[in-house]
Amino acid sequence: MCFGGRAAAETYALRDVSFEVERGEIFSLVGPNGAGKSTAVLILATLLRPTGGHASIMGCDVTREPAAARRTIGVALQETGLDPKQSVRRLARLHARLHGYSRSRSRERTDATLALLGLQEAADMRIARLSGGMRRRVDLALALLHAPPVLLLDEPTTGLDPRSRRALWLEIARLRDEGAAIVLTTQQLAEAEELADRVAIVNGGRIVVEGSPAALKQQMPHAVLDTMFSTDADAAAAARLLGGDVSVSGPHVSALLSNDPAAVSRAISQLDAHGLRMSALAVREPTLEDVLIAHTGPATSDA
Amino acid sequence: MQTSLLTLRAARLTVRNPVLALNLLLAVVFLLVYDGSLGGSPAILRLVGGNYYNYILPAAVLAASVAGGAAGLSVVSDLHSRYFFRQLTMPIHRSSLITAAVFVGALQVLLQTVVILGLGLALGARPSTGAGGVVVVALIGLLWGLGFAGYSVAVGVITRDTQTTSAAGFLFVPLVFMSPLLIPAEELKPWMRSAASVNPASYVIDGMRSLLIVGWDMPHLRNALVASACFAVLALAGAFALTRRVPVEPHR
Repeated sequence: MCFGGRAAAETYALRDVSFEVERGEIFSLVGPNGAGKSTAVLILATLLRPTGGHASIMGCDVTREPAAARRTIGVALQETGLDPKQSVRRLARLHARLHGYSRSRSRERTDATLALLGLQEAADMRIARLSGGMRRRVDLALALLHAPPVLLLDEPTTGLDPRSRRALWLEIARLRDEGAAIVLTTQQLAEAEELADRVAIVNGGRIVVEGSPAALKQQMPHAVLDTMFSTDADAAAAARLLGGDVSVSGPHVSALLSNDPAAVSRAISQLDAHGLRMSALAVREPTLEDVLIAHTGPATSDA
Repeated sequence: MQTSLLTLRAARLTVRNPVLALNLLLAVVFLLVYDGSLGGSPAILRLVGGNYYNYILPAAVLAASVAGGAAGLSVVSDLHSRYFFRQLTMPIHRSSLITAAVFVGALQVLLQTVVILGLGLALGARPSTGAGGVVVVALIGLLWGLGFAGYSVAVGVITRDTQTTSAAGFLFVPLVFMSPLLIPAEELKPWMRSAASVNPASYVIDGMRSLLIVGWDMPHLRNALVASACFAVLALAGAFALTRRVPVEPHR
């Protein structure tokens, strides 16, 4: 699918993005801000029309048969979309009814879904009074209420504390195990490593690489040198010296090293020869974050 | 069923909105203050046929019809909370979202119109067409209110701003005052008379007034129904068309 403008200087949020997700699979889109991840989800959720190509869910084209596609999806977008004036229970029952459940079945589905996400005690509270984490859980509950075969989750754990995030991961994995096809966008690479069966790295509106987390990491050089310097200036100098795939964050430098056993000692000697003293040093296997940085360009300071 | 579920939701939320009580108060003020100011003047009474409540009641009914603006405010509220976009991902027809808001706006208009007409009758209005004429006056007011509902939804969808959508109700002011609102058209200054002749509110007021003062005057009645119905149809068509094109921002 494609999504872009028609002006003379066209800007594409997505260009030639293609993927398929099977039932019982979590497919994760990761990438830097503005890469096009959310745009892809919005197209699949029938909120945006692709300007080129096509997209379909459970055999329904999202452009030609949007109503049919919507019957098969549960959506939790990056920002929660909840009615602040209603209680959790009332909102959930309304949604169940809108999905076609009878009055009694709506009550059952609501109670079961709220229990699943630990929302029973908050069920009669107005949405406006809930914390951000609770609202995120309510948002997810509404997406799961009608047991959809396809789930579209756009950064679903944003704003959650670590415990809530873990609980949500378990729930998402359970849904996958029950046969849902899940498209998950995230900026938290640990989340993608933990959950995803396949990961696609999106950059500049294109998928630059795709595969299982293990396969993507195996494509990388075999070592990552993590170093800490006493000053940011030393870290910047070290990054320039090492060159190649290097990311700098304050005094911390991560460098991807080649598949050569002597590469680590050569790098350390080089830094020492230039008087760059390290306060900490570690050598590790590459992570998904290293894969992302390798394919999207080195990161600069977080500030 | 979707429309009825969404209408119930909108109605439940609208009932809690104090702004609507203020709108009813404004309509009551129209009725009382203008009669208090002008209804005691022999000259005015001669001009209007002797019963100023009969004459000024259409103005109060039109003031009550602005309650249709509640529709736009509820749509803006849903856009702000992004609940509107969640609803768009569900198997709900887009038109149901607007229909529900408009239904509730119309209900507000109907309730306030009934209160105003009841108050007017209690204070001394004596419609020459009896109960049937009062019902038709309420119907014309309802049609006009539907137009305001559609107009407010359109403004709400375009601006996504509560203050602007509320303030857009001020369209009511020139629409109603550039008309034979307070005195007959032939007594207006020439420029005002010209403006009134192209103002749809003039025909609505004249039609209601003819039912209250004259009788079943079919040409005036037809003009009032056509003017209010055209306003309703155009405004609602615009609201539905704009809603189909609401752009979604990926995130704020």
